Amino acid sequence: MFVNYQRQIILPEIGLAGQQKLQQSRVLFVGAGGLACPALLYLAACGIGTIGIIDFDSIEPSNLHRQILYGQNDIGKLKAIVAKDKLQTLHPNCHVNAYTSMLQNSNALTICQEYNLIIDASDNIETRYIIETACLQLKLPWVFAAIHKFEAQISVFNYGNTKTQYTDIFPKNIDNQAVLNCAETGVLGVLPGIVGSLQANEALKIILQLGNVLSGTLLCYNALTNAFYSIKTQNNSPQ
Amino acid sequence: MNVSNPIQIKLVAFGVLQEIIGAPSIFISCDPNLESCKENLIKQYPALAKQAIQYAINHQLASENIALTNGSEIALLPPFSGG
Repeated sequence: MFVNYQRQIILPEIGLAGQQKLQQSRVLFVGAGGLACPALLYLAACGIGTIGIIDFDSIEPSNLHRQILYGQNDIGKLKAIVAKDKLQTLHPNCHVNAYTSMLQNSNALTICQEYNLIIDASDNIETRYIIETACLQLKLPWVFAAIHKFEAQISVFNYGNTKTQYTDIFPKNIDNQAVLNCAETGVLGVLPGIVGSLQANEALKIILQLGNVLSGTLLCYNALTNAFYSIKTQNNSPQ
Repeated sequence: MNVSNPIQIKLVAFGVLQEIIGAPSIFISCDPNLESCKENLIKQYPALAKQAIQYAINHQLASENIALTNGSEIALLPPFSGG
């Protein structure tokens, strides 16, 4: 079955041992929208063994310009179920679990503890606080991204020596209702495609222990200017 | 009495904060500390007072009233919600 992954196995940095790490990995996606669609496709395609998808939402026509796992015939269906079916058709080697509930403090630990890595593909700050609390307790790394019109923020939390948290950057006193989401502001369709792919890349580097992970760094991306602006988020004091 | 000379700093704004300021970056003068910079900014752009803002100085997250020097670059970061 590893023939599908031959082009990455021949990379000395990955090899058979790396492929086995991918196969043994269990990655949970919180949200199955714009950021999740490309990241799900890439992680399922590259041989991640188990993927979980938690999303309670149904597919709407206004999702289709950026949520590229879904098409016209999927409107009205649950995103988690459609995503699971499509991924398993495309990549039967990948086992997919769908959860059609909302991630809440009451279920976060039970669901997250089944996974090694969490991808935050949610669309609200409240959910990020829930992910952070669960990941802190379970000692899990999580790959964060959020988008606004033509811009994005990406980082990795609770990972490596720095163990920076989302609330180190944006403390819990933020009024979630005051921060506008895609439905209110609009968003360029390709933006979550680019940013979700960056999240998939961070997830792979964490699993394969390769390169530099965006832990301790908040990366800001602007699709209009192609500018990346990097901010160190860890404390400068000695660890 | 503590009197300090004003300095020139560059502000780089993101998301809704850039929309309020009306430009990706501007230069302002302030006393050489972050609190003075914040006060001047809100005087100039009162709509910023209602926003959640995190500040970074020279690409390093800043949570305290850190000293600034002439030419410091301050990034204004809003939380983004969308996904």
